[in-house]
Amino acid sequence: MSLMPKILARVTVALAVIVSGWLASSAQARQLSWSEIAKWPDLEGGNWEFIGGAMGLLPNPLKMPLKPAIMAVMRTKFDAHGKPKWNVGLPGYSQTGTCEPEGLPSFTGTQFFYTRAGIFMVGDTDYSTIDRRIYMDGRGHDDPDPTFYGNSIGHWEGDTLVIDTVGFFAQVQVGWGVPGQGKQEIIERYRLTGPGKAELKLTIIDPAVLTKPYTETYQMVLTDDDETPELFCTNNRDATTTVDLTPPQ
Amino acid sequence: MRVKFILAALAGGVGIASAHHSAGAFDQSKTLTVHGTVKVFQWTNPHVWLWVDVPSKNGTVTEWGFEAGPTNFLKRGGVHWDSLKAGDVVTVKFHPIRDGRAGGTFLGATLADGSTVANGPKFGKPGGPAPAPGGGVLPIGGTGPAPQS
Repeated sequence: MSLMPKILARVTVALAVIVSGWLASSAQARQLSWSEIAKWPDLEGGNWEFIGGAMGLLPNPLKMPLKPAIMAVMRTKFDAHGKPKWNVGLPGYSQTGTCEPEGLPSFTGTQFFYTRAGIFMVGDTDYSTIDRRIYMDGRGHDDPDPTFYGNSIGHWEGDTLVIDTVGFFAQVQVGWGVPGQGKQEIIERYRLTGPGKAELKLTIIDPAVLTKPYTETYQMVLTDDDETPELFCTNNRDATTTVDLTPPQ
Repeated sequence: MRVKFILAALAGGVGIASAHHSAGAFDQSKTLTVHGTVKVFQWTNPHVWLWVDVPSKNGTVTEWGFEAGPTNFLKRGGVHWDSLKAGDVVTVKFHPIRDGRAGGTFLGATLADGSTVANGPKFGKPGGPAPAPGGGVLPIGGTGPAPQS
């Protein structure tokens, strides 16, 4: 091959790389169209009540395929029925109340909002609110920084919304009292099962803690509550070992 | 060691059992009442707090503090930031704090006109939250030691 065709070939390859990269970045920035959103099964409409879970949506650790050493620890914290042994302390949590977020999957959000920028799952617990953004434009995870709720990408598999989340702080729990150590992958599968009814299949993949993936199913009922209250932890009197009863000035 | 239990009634998330601490500091087996005057009704999170000046027979006044649920939970139960005001004369029902100080878990208040302010929705009532899965007792939030693998 002469020099000129070699140069042309290399230029062509370089252009192809540049163009494919540009196309990929364009895909990441893609706004969804309302027409495609209109075809999605309707999970919007208000707060969903979730039925199941040991603590929030955290599974009972004794039902999970925990590594033996971790299971041994959990057996010291829970009785045979999966109830915490309160006399030995609270499982996996400090003895004082903090305002640390629950994290996924303890709380997933209870309302769905469909937007051109993706799906937002919002909700409020007794000390925090969340607004998870589920990217629906086909992007990948792209090495996310750790957070309490992770980096979520979603897509539809038929009538099922599938959300894959990675990128967690080490203390975020995958089971009640079981920190995932930051390597967990959480897969949520939401599917309407009837008017005002849905189902969540939650799969936890965590080689650091589990011997195999664990799936738990929760039933969901749509309530007539569509509140999205503001809630910030600004007056926590439970952060020490004694309740702070200092009267306000 | 402080181990507190929060009733599921304090779970603000709809149908989600969650709480930022337990409630073992309060004696759930005892329900007491005090009568006094509201000093301030703190519409705050993670708990709403009611502060009441309670006079004693010898004329001294003690300020009591009562820990209620979070604002979102009370609001869903029809309680609002101005449901109790400074100067309101109330009888407060509560579970006392175990260490004997002037405080407790707020269960409800009755005003002079007979109206009541409850600590959120009642279970089993339309629009009220579901009991916590597996029972009405919830643990605390926070960070604990990671199990060793």
